[in-house]
Amino acid sequence: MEFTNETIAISALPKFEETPLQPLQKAYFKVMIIQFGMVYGLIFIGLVVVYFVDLNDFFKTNQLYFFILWLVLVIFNFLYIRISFAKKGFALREHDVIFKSGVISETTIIVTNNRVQHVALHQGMLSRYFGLASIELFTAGGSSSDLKINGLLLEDAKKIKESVSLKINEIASEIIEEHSIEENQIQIIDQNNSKEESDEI
Amino acid sequence: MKSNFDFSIPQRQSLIGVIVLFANTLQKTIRAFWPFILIVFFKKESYSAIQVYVAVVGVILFVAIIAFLRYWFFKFHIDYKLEEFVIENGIFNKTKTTIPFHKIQKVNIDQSLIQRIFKVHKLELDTAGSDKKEASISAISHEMATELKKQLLENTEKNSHLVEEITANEEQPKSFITIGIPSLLKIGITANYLKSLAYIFLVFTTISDNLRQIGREDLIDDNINQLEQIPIVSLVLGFIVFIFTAIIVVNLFLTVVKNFNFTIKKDKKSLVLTYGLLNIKNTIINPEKVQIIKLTQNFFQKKLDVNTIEIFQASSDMKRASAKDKTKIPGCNKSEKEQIVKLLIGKQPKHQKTLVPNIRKLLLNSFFFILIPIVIGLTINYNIKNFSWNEVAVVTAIYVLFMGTILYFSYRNYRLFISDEFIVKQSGAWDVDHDIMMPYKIQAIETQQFFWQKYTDIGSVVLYTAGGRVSFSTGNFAEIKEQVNKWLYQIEISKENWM
Repeated sequence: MEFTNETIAISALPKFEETPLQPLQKAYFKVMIIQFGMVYGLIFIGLVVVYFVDLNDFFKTNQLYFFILWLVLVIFNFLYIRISFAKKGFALREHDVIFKSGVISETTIIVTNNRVQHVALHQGMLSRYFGLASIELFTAGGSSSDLKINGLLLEDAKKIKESVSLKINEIASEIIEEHSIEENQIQIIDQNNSKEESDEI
Repeated sequence: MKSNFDFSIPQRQSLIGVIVLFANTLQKTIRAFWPFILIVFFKKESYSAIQVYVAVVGVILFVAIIAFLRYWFFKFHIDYKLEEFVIENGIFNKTKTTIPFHKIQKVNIDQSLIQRIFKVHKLELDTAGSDKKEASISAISHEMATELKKQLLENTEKNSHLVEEITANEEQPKSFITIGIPSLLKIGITANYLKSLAYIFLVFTTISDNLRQIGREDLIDDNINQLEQIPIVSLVLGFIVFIFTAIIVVNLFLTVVKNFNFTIKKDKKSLVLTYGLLNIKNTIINPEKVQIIKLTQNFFQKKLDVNTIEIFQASSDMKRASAKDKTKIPGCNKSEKEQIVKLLIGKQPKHQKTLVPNIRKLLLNSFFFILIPIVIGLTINYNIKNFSWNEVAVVTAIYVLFMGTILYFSYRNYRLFISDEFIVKQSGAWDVDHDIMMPYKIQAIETQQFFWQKYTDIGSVVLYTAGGRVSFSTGNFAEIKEQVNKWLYQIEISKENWM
């Protein structure tokens, strides 16, 4: 094996922070908005129901405040979803996957292909309607280090899954090869040992 | 070689094992019913001798029958055709556990105190894919244990390369490090104060709770009344002295009992740790599986030359990190520490680059842990007017001094030392920890920055390994990103097996 041990010039290495990130599919924003709309719609229906069955008139006197509160929450949450969608981005590099997200705190998770344990492809009911899927890369580093990207086109998600799975298999086969080499060596050593033993006898 | 035992037909444990099972069941019963027993003892009504006698004999008889049934229905055998080890047990609910040979990772032979008295051994199988010891046989003779182990390992080796041969009593490798009583005593008086305090607190609350439940609060009240007659200053002093002695005594006791006769042996590639007084434990550390090594030392321990080493191992493949894979080696001196570290990771970590936290970390912590608590305290006192201004000033000054020192030292000790081969994180105010890890063991990297930190270029990084994570916060973000790029490069080119 050719052995090299060059000094690593850190500044010459590819920079993860300068990698152009791909935004999520526009359709995924619709999915988020529909989910958001359903939650707030239910709350609105709840408010209306309470308005009509209210017994001790507490609600009727304060109804305006409740609806203002609801409206404020809707506006803020909508803006938050809007910004958080815009902030999300991912990049597939040759050796790793980058995912960036977060409004108040910007978080970037990087998982290298040779550390992925397995890949999962999820598809919810809404996502299926829009032809979307999400992909999850599992590592051995615990659940908080798993990388999940929502809102990918189904074809893209499949492609990522295939390419990463391929990588995992490559690595696994390499490891098995190494092991078989080791086993051969052990066998040779064993033979030597048995020779020595027989010599002693 | 011809075996004395035929494991293809179901076997029972040694008959004498019934006694071990009896002791085991009795212990479990007492543990489950001890509040009940306490009630019986402290109840004001007295029982006649006959009643007590009948109750005790009844319980013992009952436990004995259970133990015998457990013995009778516990059978194990090897299915050579299907290449499985099979255990059947259960009195009413029958359980059949089958373990395929290729899943067996290691076979342990152990002895606890009771087992030592009756000269029987415990055999445990550790498998990939489960947290707990999946199969254990609690009482078999030494010959049977070694023979069974041999058979299992022979068959397992044919099937996989996962097996790590483990040394048990029959083949004694050279002892490598033994931690003596003096070192354990040193650790006992210098470490784990908080843990022991919590332990004492727990014992006290359980006792007082149980006394209360059975209507004997008067015992506590009497004692408190007696205490109230003593002047306050000596009471406080006495209390402090009492707590300190109790902590140290409990500490010493726990440390010695848990780690008695701590020996580290080197066996081929792995380390075998054996320790314990009542329960002898046997742990194997495979250097390949080690993810993080944590060295802990405080000021006293530095003067006494003792270290604590914690080793975090990766769990079996496809599995997540768990507490079970944490091993603690107490009380080794500097040269022993260096030997162990060298055995685990090959060399002593050096550092070429040091990351320091921004001063804002200290300011922010002071804000949260000094300013906010004081403001809250003052507001409460302003409203309830319980203490005079002088008292408040004294308490505040002590708090600021105490907390300030802790925060200052934890800020000063917070460092990330980086070299090409190692990452070492130093942290802690009193107990100074060094978390040592190697870049190629990293599973994932996370960088994090709050939006207001963009202007000051501050950020954090978390490094995930299969044995836990290491994080460094409020550092220079440009430097952090540079290191992240380097680590990514190192992970991506590494061909080394991370476990």
